[in-house]
Amino acid sequence: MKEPIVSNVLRVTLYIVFVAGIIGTITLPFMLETYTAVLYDTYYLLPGYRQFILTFLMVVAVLGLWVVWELICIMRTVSLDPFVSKNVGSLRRIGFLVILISVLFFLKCLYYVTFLTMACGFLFIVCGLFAFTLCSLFRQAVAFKEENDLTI
Amino acid sequence: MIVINLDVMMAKRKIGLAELALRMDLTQANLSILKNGKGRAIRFSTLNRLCKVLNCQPGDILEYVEGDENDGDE
Repeated sequence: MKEPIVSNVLRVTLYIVFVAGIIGTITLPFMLETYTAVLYDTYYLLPGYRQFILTFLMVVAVLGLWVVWELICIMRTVSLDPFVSKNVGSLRRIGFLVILISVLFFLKCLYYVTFLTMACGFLFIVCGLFAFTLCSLFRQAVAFKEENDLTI
Repeated sequence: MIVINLDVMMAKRKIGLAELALRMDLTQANLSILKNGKGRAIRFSTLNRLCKVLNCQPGDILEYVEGDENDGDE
C-alpha cells in the first residue's frame, strides 16, 4: 500500500528531530553557556544551579530522544502492518517516559520554580495520558485485526 | 468448542491441501489455518465452497465437542 505524503513527511521530520536532538544533547554544555551569556538568567547566579540545570536537561534530553526513537520505530511499521503488539509496547513505553519527564519537571520546581517549568510539567502529563490512551486503542485494534486475519 | 475435521474429509475425498486450495480459490496458508484449527471464524461463503468442493455437509466438517469454552468466545 502506498504511503500518503504526510506519513513520509512525518517520518523524515522524526529523523531530523532525532539527529538534531543527538547533536543538541552532545553540545548541551556549550549551548547552555551561550544561552546564559546572551540572555540574562538570575538563577544562573545561584550556587550549584549550572550543574543542576545541565544534569536536568541532559536527562530530559536522553528521555526525549528515547521517545523520538520509539516514534520512529512505530512509523517504520505504518506502510506494512501498524497494528502489531510491538507498537502497543512502544506506545506504553512512550507514556511512561513522558510521565517520567513530567515528574522531573516538577522535581525541578522544588528547587528552582518557574511558571514555564510547571506548565511543561502539566503538558507532559497530558501527553503521557494521550500515549496511554493510544496504547489501549492499539491493543484493541490488534485484537480486532487478529480476529479478522484468522477469519477464513 | 467447535472442531474442524477438514483433514478427515480431505482424506476421504483423497484431495491434497494444494489442490483443495486451488479449487477453492484460497491460499494454502489460509486453508492450513483452517485445517490446523487455528482459525477464529469461518465465513459462510468459505463453508459453502468447502462443502461444494468436498461434496459434503457442514456437519461433516464442523463438530461440537465439550472442551475449553474460552476458545472462540470473546
